[in-house]
Amino acid sequence: MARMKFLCDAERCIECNACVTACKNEHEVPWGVNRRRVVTINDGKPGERSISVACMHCSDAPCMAVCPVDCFYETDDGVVLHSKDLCIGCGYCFYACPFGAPQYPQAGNYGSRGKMDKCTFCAGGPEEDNSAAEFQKYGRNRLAEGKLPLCAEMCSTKALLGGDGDTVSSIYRERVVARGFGSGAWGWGTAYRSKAGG
Amino acid sequence: MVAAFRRPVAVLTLLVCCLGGPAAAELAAHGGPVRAVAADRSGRVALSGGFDYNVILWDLANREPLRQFVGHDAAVNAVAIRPGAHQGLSLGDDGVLILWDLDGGEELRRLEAHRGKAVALALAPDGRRALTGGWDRTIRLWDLDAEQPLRATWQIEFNVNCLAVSPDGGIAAAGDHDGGITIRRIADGVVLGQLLGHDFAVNGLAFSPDGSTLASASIDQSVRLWDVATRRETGHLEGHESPVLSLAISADGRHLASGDAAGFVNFWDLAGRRLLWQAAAHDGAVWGLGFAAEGEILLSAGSDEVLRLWSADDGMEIDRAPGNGRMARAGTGAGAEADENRRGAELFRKCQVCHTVTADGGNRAGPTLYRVFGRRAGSVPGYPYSAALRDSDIVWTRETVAELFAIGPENLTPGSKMPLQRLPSEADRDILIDYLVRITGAPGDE
Ligand code: HEC
Repeated sequence: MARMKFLCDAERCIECNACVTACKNEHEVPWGVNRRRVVTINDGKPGERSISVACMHCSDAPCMAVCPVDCFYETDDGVVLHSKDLCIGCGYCFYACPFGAPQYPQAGNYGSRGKMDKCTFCAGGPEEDNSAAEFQKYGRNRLAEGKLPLCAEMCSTKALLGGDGDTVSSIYRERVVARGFGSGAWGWGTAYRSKAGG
Repeated sequence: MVAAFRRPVAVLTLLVCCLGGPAAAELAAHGGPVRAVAADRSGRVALSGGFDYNVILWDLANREPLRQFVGHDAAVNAVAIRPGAHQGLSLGDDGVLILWDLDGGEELRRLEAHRGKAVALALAPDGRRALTGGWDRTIRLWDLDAEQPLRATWQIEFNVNCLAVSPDGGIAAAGDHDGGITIRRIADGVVLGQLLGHDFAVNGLAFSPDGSTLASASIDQSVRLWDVATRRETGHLEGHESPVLSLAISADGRHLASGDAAGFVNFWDLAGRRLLWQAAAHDGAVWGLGFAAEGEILLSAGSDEVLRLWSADDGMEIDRAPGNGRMARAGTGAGAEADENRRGAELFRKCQVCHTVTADGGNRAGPTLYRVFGRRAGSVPGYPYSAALRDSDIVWTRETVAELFAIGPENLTPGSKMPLQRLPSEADRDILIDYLVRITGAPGDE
């Protein structure tokens, strides 16, 4: 079984935000939520670069470990998902996530805390695959349709790769060999306790 | 960010894990993760707040709880002690700021501070003005003794995570979800500058006692130091390998402590920017840190439901009996039957952080579910129910518990302080209820 991973090649990201827009449109996410963001690392310093960040679907995901109500689960593909029915909006996963991935819609009434929302690797949620309920809570389930995440598909420079971890890693390794340098895929050590290409 | 490939730092003091036996020095009374701690400067008492909706005052000399404060309708995220230690403050997910009489236990003031989640609290050195911040993207300035306490509301572009007030009481620093730190003059709210450098959210802030340095802790796994006057970054402390959640500077300015999501506390010589010791302090996140006894003792608050005390000198846990190690608290009495009904036990994991199934409620956020079937809603003696449950005529049966999770507490028992949760799958509800029937004991059971 494939183990799904994201990889962002910082040498190629041109900050066009196509990934961010594609994600928003595909999933019709709640207002104020950005499942994917383009962030500048080392802002204003040597080594400054842009990367596209979302949930990395970590191995031994820290969000899962910190959740007091056990609302996360991992699919057979290694995708980390959660149940919005069980989430109580405590925010603990936000603090534990090294990628700042968990998002919260702005609160409505006093005391009603928004349920956490995050990237699903386009794999929906615990509801029945491609049901209306699944789409409404988690967005489209492209994996169930045999497709891969739209953000990576829409990346014109192919900086953002998403798919089977071994495939993604070998594409990156070939690039590093071809261009003669590579700083290692950003975030891989943190997310998967491994280096890609490097 | 270099975090991804950083080499691990030397672990100077790695405490042995999981050897069993309760550790004597632990402050254990919370029924859930402990999210915040504030120590009184004298080192006599400390105040803590947790996921169990409770605030607890501790006697540090005897390491025992003195008093519990019940008033929040959701998890508590931040606490503070006013100078003199006769009054304390707490702030929670209910958006409410409560001023407590620490001596008598009464609620002195209850302020609807934020819309939804409120997480940041900082008290000015005068002990009168307080700042609160929340995920409603506002910071509020309060005069705790004034009849009309709200002094100002400042809008922020991002969710506010943490706040600090300079030792002269003139400047407020706010850390946000986007990794920014905003420096503001408290008198008129004018923004003096932004400290930009963290790649991800800022979770903790602390001023040095002379006010010249601000320290910040971030999800980007770093602690940074800033020159407040020039707003330049003057230090970058690396040594955490997970998001940094908590931060404190000792009153003499010599030491800085930082705690992370993996349970480590790092202890630094602030001037020399040197790591003095590291401790595997908690099983799970270190949510809060505070210095007591003029900086000789460090208090840590953890996901493992306890507070611990550390000697600033050498990072040894204070009073820990030799051979004692970390032990996760069981708390619910449900473990033994886990194998009999694995799925049921798995589903009950969604509940057990807030409910025990034994006669002892364990000080959790919710009432014990011991003998819940056949029981009238809102009837466990001593548990501080909301009016919604106290005044309800529901009797808990298979059917009503199923309904509670089919339509959610907000619909079956509107106004309940149980959070919005549902189990949409009927099959799961049946399995959970079968499991509950078995583990909660029938009425009349001994
Ligand atoms: C985050 C904490 C939390 C979680 C998680 C939680 N509860 Fe509760 N529960 C509460 C609180 C608080 C109350 C009391 C509500 C009130 O007074 O309004 C409560 C009340 C109840 C009651 C009514 C008890 C009585 O004495 O009237 C039942 C039954 C119950 N919960 C079952 C469950 C089950 C089953 C689950 C898991 C599927 C669960 N709860 C998960 C916090 C929680």
